[in-house]
Amino acid sequence: MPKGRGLYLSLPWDRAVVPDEEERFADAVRREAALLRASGLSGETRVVSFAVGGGDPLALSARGLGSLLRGVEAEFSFANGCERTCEGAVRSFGAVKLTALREAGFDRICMKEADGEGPERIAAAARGAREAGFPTIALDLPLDGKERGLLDGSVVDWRTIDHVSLREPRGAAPSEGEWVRRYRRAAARLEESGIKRYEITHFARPGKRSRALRLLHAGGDVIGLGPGALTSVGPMRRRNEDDPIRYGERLREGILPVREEEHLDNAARALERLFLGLRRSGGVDPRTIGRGLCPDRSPLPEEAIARLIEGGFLRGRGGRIFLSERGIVRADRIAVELLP
Amino acid sequence: MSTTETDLSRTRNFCIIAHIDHGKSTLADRILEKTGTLGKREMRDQVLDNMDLERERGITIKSHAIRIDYRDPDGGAWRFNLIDTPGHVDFSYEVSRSLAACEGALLVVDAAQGIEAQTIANFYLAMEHGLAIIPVINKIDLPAARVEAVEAAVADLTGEARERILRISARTGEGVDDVIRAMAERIPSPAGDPDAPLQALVFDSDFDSYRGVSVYVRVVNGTVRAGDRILFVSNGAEFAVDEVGILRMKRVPRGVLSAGDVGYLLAGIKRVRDARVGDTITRVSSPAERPLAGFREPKPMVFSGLYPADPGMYEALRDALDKLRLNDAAFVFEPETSNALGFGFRCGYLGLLHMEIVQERLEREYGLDLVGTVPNVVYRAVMKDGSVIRVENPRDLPSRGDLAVVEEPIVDAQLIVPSEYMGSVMKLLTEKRGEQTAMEYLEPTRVLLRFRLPLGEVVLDFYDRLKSATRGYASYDYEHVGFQASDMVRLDVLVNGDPVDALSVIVHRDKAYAWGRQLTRRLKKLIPRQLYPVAIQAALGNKVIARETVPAFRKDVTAKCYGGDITRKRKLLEKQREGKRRMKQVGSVHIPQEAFLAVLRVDDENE
Repeated sequence: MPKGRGLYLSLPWDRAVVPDEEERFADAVRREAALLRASGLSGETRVVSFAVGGGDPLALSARGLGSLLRGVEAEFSFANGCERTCEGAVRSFGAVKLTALREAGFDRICMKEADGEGPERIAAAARGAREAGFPTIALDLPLDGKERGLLDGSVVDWRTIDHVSLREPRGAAPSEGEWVRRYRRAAARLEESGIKRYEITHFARPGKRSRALRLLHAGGDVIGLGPGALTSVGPMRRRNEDDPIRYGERLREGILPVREEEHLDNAARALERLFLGLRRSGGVDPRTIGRGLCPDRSPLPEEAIARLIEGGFLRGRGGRIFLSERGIVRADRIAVELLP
Repeated sequence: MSTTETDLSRTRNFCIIAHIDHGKSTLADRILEKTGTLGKREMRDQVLDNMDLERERGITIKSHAIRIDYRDPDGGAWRFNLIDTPGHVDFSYEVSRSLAACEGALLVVDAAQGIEAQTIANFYLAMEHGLAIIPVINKIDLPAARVEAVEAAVADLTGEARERILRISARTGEGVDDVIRAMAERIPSPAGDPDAPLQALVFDSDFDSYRGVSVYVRVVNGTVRAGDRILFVSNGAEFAVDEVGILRMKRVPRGVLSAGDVGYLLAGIKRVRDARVGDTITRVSSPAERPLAGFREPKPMVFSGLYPADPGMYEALRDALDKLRLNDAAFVFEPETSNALGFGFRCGYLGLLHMEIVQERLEREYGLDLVGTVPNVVYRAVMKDGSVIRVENPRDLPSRGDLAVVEEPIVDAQLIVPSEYMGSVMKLLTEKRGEQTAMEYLEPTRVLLRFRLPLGEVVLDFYDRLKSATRGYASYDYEHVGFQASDMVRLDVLVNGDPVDALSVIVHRDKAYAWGRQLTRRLKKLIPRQLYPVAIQAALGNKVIARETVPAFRKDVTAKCYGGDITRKRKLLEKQREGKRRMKQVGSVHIPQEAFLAVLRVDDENE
């Protein structure tokens, strides 16, 4: 797990908004960052990953985006070499904005909202990002059936893509068999292109794994800002108000805009570590996980592990367990089977 | 004051017998009120039914007694002892002992419902005990009352002149004074010799942790007082009497109980098993020559396994069962182990209602979460060497090689059915392997059917199906009449090749195939998908006769796993983990608790 903490700024819009609205939002985020610092949550730990996502950050003006960033940077301590990611809808990719982002210090760009976008648009967006100087280009790829043409065809130069996240398409989910077929086909194609799986749905070239995702999946501390943002620090889980208006109101009242907060016990944290760990290519150590989950601090049940290995759902190596290809498509259920 | 000769002539020991819901407890309440036994403030409806479960189910489970002092309009003083009786076939032996403590009975019949199966069963039981019977038609104020027709049927049944049949509304109190007068006039006073050796009939007992067992007795001959050393004839147990008294709403200590009296005694008895219903108490120093007739050991006829849903609660279950047994002499249990359910207990009950009551009390009063297996009756395995094995658990049925014949318990059942439902009832009875022995029209539209049936066919779902076949208008009662040789086989269930002992049943060979098909189909619906396909097989010996397969769990490549997804997923998995905990594991298969009662609903598949 990367040392340090993650910061995630969630934007409420997927469209352009008037400058006043941008400014009001930037002001609210600045207040939130200041309150977080005052509450001690921003702490001394350096930020090693900063991501802007939510709606479509690229729909904001370069000025607005810059104002947001400055507000956050003023309250948190960023590590040297902090990974800075900006998500954006493919339709919003443009040379000016990409250049501005790059100049603002962003080194990862993630192409989102690729549903319905043809291979040409995606290929052009990737080229544009590369030309703007982004060292890492990520693609969020829905498995809507069209991905086959994208993955198999020659329009997209896969050498320009460093990171791919597969996801369910919006709308009706495909049938069980079809969904698995699409996933396996895409995974195989990506592996052939040198983009290797490091989590069930995340693939990257060597050295290009997302630090933000790795922190999240390893149970690291991630602080969320913005409407609907989630914070996960130690055992604390907190979710902000979803409604941007309410979010802004609370901050103007000088109150953190928390909608709900819970503190996980050891067992719940261990359960998180188990199902998130199983999803990762590094697997989990049943002794470490078991210590949190089992009242007597014993490892995960050996009998269940043996049965799952025998059934071809798990593999064991070096004292750790990993999902097999058969297990990957039933990951959650396997986590339940492993629970004492 | 001790009972004197004069008192005895004005003492009446009686009970109220009725089909369920015909108003037995309401009439008891009203008699207590009219006689001033309880003031208005003390009254609450159905005071005699003081267990929560009894009140909820509208039935009396444990007998109670109460003394009523009554002054008639002419100033004459009377002493009535009302002995309440259980109202369900499971407790017919307890009913019979309560009747044996009385000289008279009020036979209550609902004016709208008319004679029902238990009316007839109770009437004949009372006749057998030589009781004076006062027929009472209750609920005459109901708009649906059919007083004339019901009165004619009651006169036919009892042979009583119609003018001697009382018409009342226990709810409003109308006619209840006539009932009280009739009790004084028509019920004989108790006979008995206070100077003879002590013979006291135990008609009930209960337990509390402070005073031990309270024994409820009818003194037939002799006297008993504190300090006496007494002997229970059936088991030879001896105790010193600490206290005797009569029963009002509470126990009221008295110096002596004499022939004809109904009351209680305390003697430092720790277990109700030592004071069995029907037993005779006599004095150690001058014992009676013989016990009173009619005692028998309560013999459980229905068995089922009881397991803690959480294996860690095994000891808590054992403690609860121990405590329950202190207060229920008919309930038995012993430890057993199941490959599917782990450590638990094999429990024996008088019948299905008794079973439900015990299980509900364990869950309600002791907070236990239980898995109960399908109930089965007792079979007798007659071996080739002539020995007989009592089979209380299907898995104990010996293998065919050594077995000569299996005998199953048989009951004589009487059903009262509106004639329009005769067809469906006859069909049900035939399906349940019943043989008709008699049929009689009680009224032009109501038929009394007598059938001989295997008890095993009755205990599972007979009552529910009878009710559904007659829209709730049929009533039935039955009595055990012995065992009969039948072609019974054990049907086993295998899940992914592993036998699940808790699902084994003993069925008639002719029904085994249909049973196996229905059971596997039902289990398929109840067993959730797992990581592997699950094969459910029904087998007779080594021969598989039915099979169903539960397909494997749906594949799910849940895509993103960002912040909100993680919390949602954790909560979902916690829920699934709870679900898994509530299931029992057989080999690699998780079986939900409901599956162990699947056999109970097998016949639903036909509907």
